[in-house]
Amino acid sequence: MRDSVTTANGQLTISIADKLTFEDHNDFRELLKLMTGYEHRSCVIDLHGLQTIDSAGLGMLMIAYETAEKAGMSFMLSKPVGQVERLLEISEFDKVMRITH
Amino acid sequence: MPVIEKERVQLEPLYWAKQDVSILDARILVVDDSPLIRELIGACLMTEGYSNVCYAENGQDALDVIKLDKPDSIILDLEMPVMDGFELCKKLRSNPEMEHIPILIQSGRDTAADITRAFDYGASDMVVKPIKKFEILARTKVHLEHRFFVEKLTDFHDRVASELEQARQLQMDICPSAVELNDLQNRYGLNIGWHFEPSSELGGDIGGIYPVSETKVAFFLADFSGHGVAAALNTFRLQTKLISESSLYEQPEILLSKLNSFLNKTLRKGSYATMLFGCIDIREGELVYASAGTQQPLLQLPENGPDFSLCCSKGMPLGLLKSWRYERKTVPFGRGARFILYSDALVEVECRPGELLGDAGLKQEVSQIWKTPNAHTVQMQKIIQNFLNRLNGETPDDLTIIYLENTGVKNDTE
Repeated sequence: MRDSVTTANGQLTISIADKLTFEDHNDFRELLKLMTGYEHRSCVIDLHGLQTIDSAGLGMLMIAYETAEKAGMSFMLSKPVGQVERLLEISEFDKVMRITH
Repeated sequence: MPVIEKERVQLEPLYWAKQDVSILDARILVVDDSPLIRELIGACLMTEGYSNVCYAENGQDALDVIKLDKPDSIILDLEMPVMDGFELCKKLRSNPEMEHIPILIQSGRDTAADITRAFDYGASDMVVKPIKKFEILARTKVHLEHRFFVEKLTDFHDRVASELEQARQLQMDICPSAVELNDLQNRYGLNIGWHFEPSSELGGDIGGIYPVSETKVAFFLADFSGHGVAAALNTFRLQTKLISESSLYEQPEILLSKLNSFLNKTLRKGSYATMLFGCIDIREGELVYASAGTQQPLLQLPENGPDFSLCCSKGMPLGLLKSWRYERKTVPFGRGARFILYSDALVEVECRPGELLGDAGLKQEVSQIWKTPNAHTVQMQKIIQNFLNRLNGETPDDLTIIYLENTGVKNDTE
């Protein structure tokens, strides 16, 4: 997993690239701390550079959503492509959270 | 007494690995043709607290002693009559049971050629005469501690490997047996194909098929996220829950909602299972199912031509959210209809460099296979062979394939 974080106007944007798999579990948890430690109004996880995601990665995105919800932030997954987009679709994540294409 | 000790070790090889056995209990064999040197080394060891020291006066004598009881370490002279230390070293290292025993050479021969030869023949370490008590004790201690540590690790590794193999076997055992499948085939007029291959690491696939009534039979395939022991144990958890919910087998959408809430309470946050649960009504020629994010099953209907189509399998994976409503889907399943379920391993393989097979790729491949008429067992074998051809080495994940075909011919002998 490669990640970069930007903040602007109360919005936290976390970009995740390459792969999101079980091995990224600890790094991803560190990213989640950014969501709760500061006063952001919204969180966007930018997935356009993410090529593959495994079952653990999908679970992590759901944890990110729940973390944002608890913190009272709006949450959005942005631009998933390929296998990531298909997995989100088949798992009906779009019925729970905002996904923009 | 030594014989009893030996038997106990053989009967319970793991016992010692679990205990904090002191290296002072180690059996040390001192091999030297000089009685004085043997006594001197023995005395050094005993005063340090080593209580199990034995002796031999040449290489051949040492082999006889070792045959009776294997030592944990050997302190060895090089120049001896009958069989010298070099020869003994060579013999011991060619015996698989003795190849890792620490051999500490003590010798007056200290030329580069002698030292090189001793190590070439398998010595672990070397001290040069005259014997210095602290040196021989320090080196003995280092080698024994190392040996005990490696033995503990090896024993632990062997035990875990054996337990994983047993767990793998248990997973195989909860799959329907050939006899059960044959019985169900006759009872409902189905052709059933079942392939389950757990990965070497243990995985989270589970499938099952249950009779519901004289005309209805239920089936499912589930896959827990992650690999390893936790995922495998969750398959047993799911099976137990499913058996207690048999009244819901005809309402798969309600069953999945219930399983979702159950798993949300019991699984770790972020863990989940994908699942498809279906029920075939033979009399009505219909199949109802609900799905929680599985791969898309394949359906072939004789009235629609030879190609398979992909069925909808959308649904929130079980356990991610507290509650979820699943959709009930109905497809025709009259005489000649075929339905294929499979776990993600089958399609998450590269069909071309950088390109995964995917559900759509599998659909094309399966349609092609069924264009040549063959028994379903032969066709399934072709799917599996294509999968194996795409792998480099071991199966990375569990692979499950379930094939169901309505033959329309019931052959109930009961």
